[in-house]
Amino acid sequence: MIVGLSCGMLASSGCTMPWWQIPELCWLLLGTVLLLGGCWGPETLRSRVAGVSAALFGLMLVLALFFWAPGGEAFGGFYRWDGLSILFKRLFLFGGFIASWMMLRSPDGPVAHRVEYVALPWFAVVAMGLMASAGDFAVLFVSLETLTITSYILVSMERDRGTSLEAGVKYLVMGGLSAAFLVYGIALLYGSCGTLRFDEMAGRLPGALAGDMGPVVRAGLLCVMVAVGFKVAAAPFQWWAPDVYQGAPVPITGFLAVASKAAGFAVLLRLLWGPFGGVRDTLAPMVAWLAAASILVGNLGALSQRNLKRLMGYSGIGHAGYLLMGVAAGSAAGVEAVVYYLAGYAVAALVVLGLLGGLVDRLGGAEMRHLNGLAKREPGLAWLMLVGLASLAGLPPLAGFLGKWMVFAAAFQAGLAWLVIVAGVGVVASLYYYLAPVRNMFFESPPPDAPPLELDLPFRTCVSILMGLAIILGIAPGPFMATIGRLLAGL
Amino acid sequence: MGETFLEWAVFWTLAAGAVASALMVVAGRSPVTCALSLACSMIFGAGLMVQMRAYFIAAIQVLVYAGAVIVLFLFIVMLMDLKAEAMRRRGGVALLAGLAVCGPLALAGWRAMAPLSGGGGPPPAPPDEVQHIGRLLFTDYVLPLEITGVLLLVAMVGAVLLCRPGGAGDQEGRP
Amino acid sequence: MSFLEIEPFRIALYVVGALAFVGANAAYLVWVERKAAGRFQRRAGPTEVGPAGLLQPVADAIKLMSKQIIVPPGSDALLFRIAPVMVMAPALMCFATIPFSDSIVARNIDVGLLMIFAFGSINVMAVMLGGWASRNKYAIISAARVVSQNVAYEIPMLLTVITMLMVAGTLNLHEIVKQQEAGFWAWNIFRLGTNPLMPVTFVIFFTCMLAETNRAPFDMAEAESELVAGAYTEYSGMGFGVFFMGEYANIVIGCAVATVLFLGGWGSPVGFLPGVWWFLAKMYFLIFTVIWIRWTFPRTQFYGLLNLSWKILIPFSLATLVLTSIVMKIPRMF
Repeated sequence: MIVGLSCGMLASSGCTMPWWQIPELCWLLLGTVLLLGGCWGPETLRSRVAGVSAALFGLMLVLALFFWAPGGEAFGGFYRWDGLSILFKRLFLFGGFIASWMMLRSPDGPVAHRVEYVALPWFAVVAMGLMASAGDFAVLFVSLETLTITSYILVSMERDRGTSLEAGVKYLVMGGLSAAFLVYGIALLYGSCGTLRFDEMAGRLPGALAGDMGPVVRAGLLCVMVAVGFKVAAAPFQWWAPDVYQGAPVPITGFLAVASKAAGFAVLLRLLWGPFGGVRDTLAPMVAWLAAASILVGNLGALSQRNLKRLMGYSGIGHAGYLLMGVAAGSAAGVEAVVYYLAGYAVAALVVLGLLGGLVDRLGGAEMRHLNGLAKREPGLAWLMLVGLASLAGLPPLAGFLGKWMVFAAAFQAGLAWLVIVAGVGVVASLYYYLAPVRNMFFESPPPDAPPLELDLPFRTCVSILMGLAIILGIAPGPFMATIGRLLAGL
Repeated sequence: MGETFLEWAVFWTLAAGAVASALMVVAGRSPVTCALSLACSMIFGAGLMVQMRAYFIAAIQVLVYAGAVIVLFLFIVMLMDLKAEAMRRRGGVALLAGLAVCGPLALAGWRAMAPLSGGGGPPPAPPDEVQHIGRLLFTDYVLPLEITGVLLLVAMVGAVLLCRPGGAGDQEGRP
Repeated sequence: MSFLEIEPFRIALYVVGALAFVGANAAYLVWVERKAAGRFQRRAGPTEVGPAGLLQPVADAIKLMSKQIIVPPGSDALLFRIAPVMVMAPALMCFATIPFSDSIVARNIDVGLLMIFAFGSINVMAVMLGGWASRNKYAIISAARVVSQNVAYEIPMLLTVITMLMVAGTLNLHEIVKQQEAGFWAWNIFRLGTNPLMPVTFVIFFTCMLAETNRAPFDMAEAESELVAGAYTEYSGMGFGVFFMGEYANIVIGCAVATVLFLGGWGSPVGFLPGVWWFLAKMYFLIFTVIWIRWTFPRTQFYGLLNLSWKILIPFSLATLVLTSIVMKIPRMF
């Protein structure tokens, strides 16, 4: 039945599809079943709930990769089923899959065995999927809120740990502020256009911008963009990211870094190539400035970090900047580059965070000094980590390099040469801080009484597969780019 | 004349009250006063909606915000130790930031509203307002409505999880 | 233009009338309550002032008004003074929409029922603020109890109201009564055809109303054996008096709403006497029941009270809601 529900899509390439065919419904059911089963189910299920969740995520991902075909809409246009949403939904499922795989062996403490910890990512993925498919500001707003509330819970789950609680509270306050901006912006846009529908707004917005209501439209656009900026952690709305990345349990950090950021970009692309399509040229400079600020703040901020999770938070801001460059380019090539970059970033970031998650309790912490001598203790893991960091830094022949190349090329073609120069500065800075842990791993000696690092086979497999993906995406991007191009053809 | 003057007077009283109590929310020293001012602001806002004949929205605003949200808000504030909070002074930076955000918004609103002034009020709400809203919610807007259900479910799970005695990691707390 | 058609005069007239009604009710319901309590406990109740103690409320009112209002040192003076006002003002708003008869209603608003619940919900905030502003440990405990109790009981109450709304299809109290005018079999409480659990719905509503108005057996907020007088501990003179009036006003409103929703409002079961008398008779019968319950049942425990709401009333009210919607949907399917 699950298979049927989730594959219903392939049959429907027409204009409308029945409401029960949207895959989020299936994911929601699975999440609820996991939640209830983990609470009251038989003991055999309760002890394996993380494994079941990972397996189901994998199944859903396979279905999504091989059976989904774009075309159609549901709920009278409130739900879009186009190439953009499909691409991003795959990315979300991938993030959920890896995060729940990491939860199988998250040594972050007793939290790992709680059923909510395993089930809530499902709800988050449902919310993200709906965000990517939104055809109306009402859908966008409520699904965004669902995602942020789920994230608050996941981040602050380890209530006993001060940093986790602090991260949760900071995220909550920042998220509240961003929701206020979003809803205010939506209200202003509604006031000036008289509609919340994306397709109708696309037609009315340019006229409204030029007319009497111009300032209101401008203020509304600004507010919405600020809210999206919060979501993707772009400077100057980035304050929450380092604290949240540091405080959250590692699998959740990975999930947020990958899936939540992707969801933010899904919304951004959806808006700029949907309701804001007519005023994209007005917004592009703003996006470019956001990109420049994010690149500088993220990469320069990361230089002084000694905690790897925090470092990933700052570098995540920098990556948001590179991604925004692709958006600012405003071309089809730019959008394709953004999607490719997101996939490459997801793979590499999950390699680093996954390894960190697997090792953090054996190493004694996530500070850089805890990595001392990793190459001598576990050469294989150290090399995996090296590949992940190198891909994030953008060294060839890895996915990170190609992604940066494509984004830079798109920005350059759009006449944003100054932005490319700023990004170059960012890349140089990032080499320094990404290679700092490498020095710790390879050129420092391990602490004398270091316990052996035991990492079980499934975990090693997971990280190795991710590393393989990072290399394959970098060397042979052809099929992947072809899929992106095909799915984004109608944008 | 009498009717219009009354409407004019009521409007400005309500509007001034709403703005004044909104300012009190940010300027008040004690969080309880701030929360109470927020409730007042909501009620004044509801009054403005009544003046626009949007009775349903007005009643919902009072019921949800003044009656539920602010009450819970006050409840939480009440249970915290507020001595340190009450002493806090707001710095000039906060004032500047507030002005930086509100100033342009107010300007935008002013410039947009200026050509509209004198152009009559908004259209009156339909007489079967409630049925109308209900029908819309369950037909066109059914997807957002259902997502709101998911939102509430998640929030409930989170509230139970984070408030469970003994911390979230407590295995004994299982039902 | 007649005098009554000028808006400000209408409003002034209404406020005076509603205040008089609330004041008279509060004064004489206290008398009724004391007399009834006396009967229940095999004693006479007030007898000294006036025949059968009938002037006792007047004496009490004079006493309360002449007493000094003491604002305890260390309290939040502003909130302390505002709180009683916040109990009374919303109560006055609520009376505006209650149809005492076909023609006696201050404002026939389409969303009248919603308005009553909207303003009724402010009451909690007032009691809470009063308790908090007093800076007295009993008052604060009482304030915390009031909030958790009211939040818990507001849910089943609104669920039963939604059930009734589905049956009525309108929020206009006047309309709701009109629909029940045919005779006592048409009163909502007896309309088992739309929902066989209708009497249960009424009981749930009534129970919630008792809890919302902090009446025994749910008067945890001013449980005098543990909390002195709860949130009102520090209030003296008319501060206390206004709280007290507000409380009785809320009971009157609750019973009036129950009358409208379930007992056919001004509709008469037999056909003589004007409707307003029937309305008052039904309403005062319910109020008497409230008093009756207070002197019959002991006070519940606080956890028992919350359990009753979350584990019994909410599931049952949800069940009646679902059942009603199914019963209403079935005929349309064929």
